[in-house]
Amino acid sequence: MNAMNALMANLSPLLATANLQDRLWFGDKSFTAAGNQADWMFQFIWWCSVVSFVGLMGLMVWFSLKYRRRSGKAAPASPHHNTILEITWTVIPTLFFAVMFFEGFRGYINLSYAPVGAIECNLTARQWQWSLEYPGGQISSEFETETEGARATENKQFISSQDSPVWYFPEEQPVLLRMTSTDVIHSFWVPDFRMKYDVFPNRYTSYTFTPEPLDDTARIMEDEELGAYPYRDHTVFCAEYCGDYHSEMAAIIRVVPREIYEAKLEIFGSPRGTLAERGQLVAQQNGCYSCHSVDGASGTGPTWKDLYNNEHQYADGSTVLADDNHIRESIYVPAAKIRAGYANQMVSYQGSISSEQLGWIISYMKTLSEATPQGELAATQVDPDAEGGEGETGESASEGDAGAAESMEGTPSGG
Amino acid sequence: MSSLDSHAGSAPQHGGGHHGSYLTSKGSLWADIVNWATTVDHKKIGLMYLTAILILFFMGGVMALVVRIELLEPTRVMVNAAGETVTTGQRLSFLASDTAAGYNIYNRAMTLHGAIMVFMFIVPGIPASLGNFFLPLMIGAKDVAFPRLNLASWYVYVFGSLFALASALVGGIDTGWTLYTPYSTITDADHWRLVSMITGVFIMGFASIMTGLNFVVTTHKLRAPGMGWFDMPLFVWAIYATAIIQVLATPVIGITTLMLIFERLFNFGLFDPRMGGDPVLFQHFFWFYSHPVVYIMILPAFGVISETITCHARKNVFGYKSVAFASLGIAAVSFLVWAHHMFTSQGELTAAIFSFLTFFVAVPTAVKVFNWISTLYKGSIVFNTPMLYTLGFLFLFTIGGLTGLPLATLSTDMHLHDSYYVVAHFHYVMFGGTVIALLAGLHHWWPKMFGKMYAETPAKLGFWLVFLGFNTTFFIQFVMGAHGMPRRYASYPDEYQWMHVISTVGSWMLLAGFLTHLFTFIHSLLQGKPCGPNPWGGMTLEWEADSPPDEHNFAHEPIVRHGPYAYDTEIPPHWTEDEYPLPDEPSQH
Repeated sequence: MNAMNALMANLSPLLATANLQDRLWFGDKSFTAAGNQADWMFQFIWWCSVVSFVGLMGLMVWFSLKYRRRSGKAAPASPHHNTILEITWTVIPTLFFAVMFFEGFRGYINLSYAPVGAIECNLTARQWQWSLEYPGGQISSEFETETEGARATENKQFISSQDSPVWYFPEEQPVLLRMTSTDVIHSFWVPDFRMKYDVFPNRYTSYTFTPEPLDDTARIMEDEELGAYPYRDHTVFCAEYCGDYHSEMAAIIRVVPREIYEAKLEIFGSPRGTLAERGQLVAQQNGCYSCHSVDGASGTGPTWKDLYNNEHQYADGSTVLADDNHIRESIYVPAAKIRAGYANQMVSYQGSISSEQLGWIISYMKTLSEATPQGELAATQVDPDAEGGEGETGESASEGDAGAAESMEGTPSGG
Repeated sequence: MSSLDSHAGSAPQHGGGHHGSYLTSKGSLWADIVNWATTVDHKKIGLMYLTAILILFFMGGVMALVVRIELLEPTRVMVNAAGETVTTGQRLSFLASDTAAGYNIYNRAMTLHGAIMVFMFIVPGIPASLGNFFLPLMIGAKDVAFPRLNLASWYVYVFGSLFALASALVGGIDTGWTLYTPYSTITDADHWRLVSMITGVFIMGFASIMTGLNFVVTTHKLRAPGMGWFDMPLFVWAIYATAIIQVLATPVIGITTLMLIFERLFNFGLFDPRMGGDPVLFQHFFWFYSHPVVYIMILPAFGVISETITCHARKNVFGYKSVAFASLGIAAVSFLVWAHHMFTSQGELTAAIFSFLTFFVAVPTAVKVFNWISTLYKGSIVFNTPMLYTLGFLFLFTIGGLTGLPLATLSTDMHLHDSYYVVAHFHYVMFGGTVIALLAGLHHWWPKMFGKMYAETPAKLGFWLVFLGFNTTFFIQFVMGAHGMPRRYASYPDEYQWMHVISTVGSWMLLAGFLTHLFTFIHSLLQGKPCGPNPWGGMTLEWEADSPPDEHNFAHEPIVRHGPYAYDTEIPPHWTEDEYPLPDEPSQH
């Protein structure tokens, strides 16, 4: 029993059973205070429902058995209505509904509003990848396709067949995500935090959570560089249907001690390795591999294997050599030329991939192609018209109003 | 107090095939086909609708089974010991070409299941089949107010279904039945299939409006002499409330689908954010129809249950007026709660307002359940198939209603929205409510429609298979959703697999149950024992007509002299003991 649970248990006799109830209904307790409040609300409704359901069904079965038909006997007379009874059974549920509404609204506000002092991150959703930028512009370079989830019993379990980014956050630290989408509507859902919110193109929405401290249920990570540290994983799902790989759009929020978080940010802030390695990472961070394979397999988009410096057939019948400028155009203006046999599905990455990063990606593509001229340096030719100057990794897709920890966005405008 | 002054006792003792019934053959097969295709008889149109919706129900059910089979195990892309990449769990990928993954097939099956079941089965469902057949009979009319419009609505409905099915046959769409923009406007792969499907929905909307208009006018104008508003059976009240929603709400889906078609074909930019449109606007338009539509689905079911529970418990319904007004109240409030489907995509004030209004739907719904259960008090209850289905309805619908409370409550909905909890909830309400009530109504009125009794024992077996199979399939989904399983996922983390397996096994039980019912219905048509005009001893007017009814329903215009549920009299006035005993089993002459 950790301190938090002990505290909860003292709050009310109802909550003493909350842990069993939580395990039954949600697999585990929530890992945020607001989430626990929502769980309490759910327990309240659940017990109201159980009492009324058992009562109603009990009456139904009792009446059915007691008054079952006996041959030749007609039913005795009984009242057709009873005003007092009917008013009673209208008013009492209404009172319970009123409690549910008001308490539910209070809990909703707690789930929705970030406390002052939250870490503000940018979150961009696209088909079919989440990408998150820390306030300092760092982007996580860790990915997993399987996790030791908070509730995984034995081995590691798959959460997605694609790369799921791992995002580190410190315990007990409020976080505010400013979310936007580049294509369709997605929805950011962390079941462990009991909260989800939709992510729209051309609009910001926000998501907030304050992870509870790591307790003795936390797992231990053996890290070569940072030593052993406790951590807790929370799976992120996309909850709004967004197309083919909707179910693979997962991510992991990893809650760690603050010093580990800071150490990780330093690592993310300085991408090391060759240009091609950096290109591979940038492509991963931007979710390129959810459509493009690197081993020749056909996906939603053409494979990158043997793409560079080869001629390819396009939908308008033309044949184009895939050189640097062609790749640049394909990433910034995808609709300009569509490969034969593929749909026009890609969105522009203008603004999410800087010219410098694009150069790294081209370097990586060269390593995948047999047709790369031998001896060519893995460097990029910078176009004269490139908007130069951004040296940092990844200018954000959503530069601009870095508002304070303000509330959610306004209501959707009707036009 | 006879409800028929001159007709009493003159009903033929043997239904089925006697001269003048609406089922009587016109001589040759060709004459029969022409006669049915050009009929304006509401009974034939009701049967044609019933046939059409049952065929579509079968197709939607196959899609549901496909969905459940795909979810037996999650999709895994793994590298095995030999270093080869292996994909497991894509049970449907054999249906696809090489490039399309199992995901793609799953998404299409899921969309088709939703679109067929909602737009083509459950919306026309009870009103167009049982409603068409029994509304005129129950108010003592010869036909509906606009018989030709009624026939036209069936043709329009079939025409619209063909568009939708054509879209399905050439590969289907993968947008989900809710067609949310911008996904449905920017996905290129399914362009014409999507337009075809949306066009089908647009056309079927007209059928719904025609049916609704017909029922409103019929209820107002064609009641038998002596039948005031409060002498109407509750099924008629329910159908009337439904018809009002159909007339008022369906135009909205018409306009919305039209907008979506224009968006796709001409790039209007109403919903496309790249052109300054607003994707959430579509959700408002869509749910402005699609929330009232769930009451189009469930209100007729309430009506059926009011009929079956009174007839088989031989009790006047408890609180007739409150049940009738609850129907109208639900119809009115149904227009004010559409945005509760969008709590995760709007601001706090909107969410609070719509959460508040949503609880207002809960009150009349709860009152109805209380009334039905009170109706059983001091009744004379017989456990035949319609009554079992009625009690099953009360059980399942109560679960469905109560599990709606955490979805109406804001703080809990933020977690449960778009999870399997929602899937379970609306299946408990739609399937556990509407489909179960349709089965109750079918068994209740089957002898009236065809003049032949179904076999009681296999039908009861079918009930238990459906009831237990349904609970096995969907109850575990509440737990699954609360644990964090999102909707519309072709694959999922391993921890949910055991629940999906339970659910899939339940779906096979459901299949067995429906096949049992198919067998009993076909068996009844071929070898059913003829039954008299009133095998259950019902008090509403449709039992005054022959079984099956004459071409024009009644030999004389019926005159109403008692309420629809005047079961208090020990033996109904127009009965004689030996003619219609009160049996444990339905009488079989």
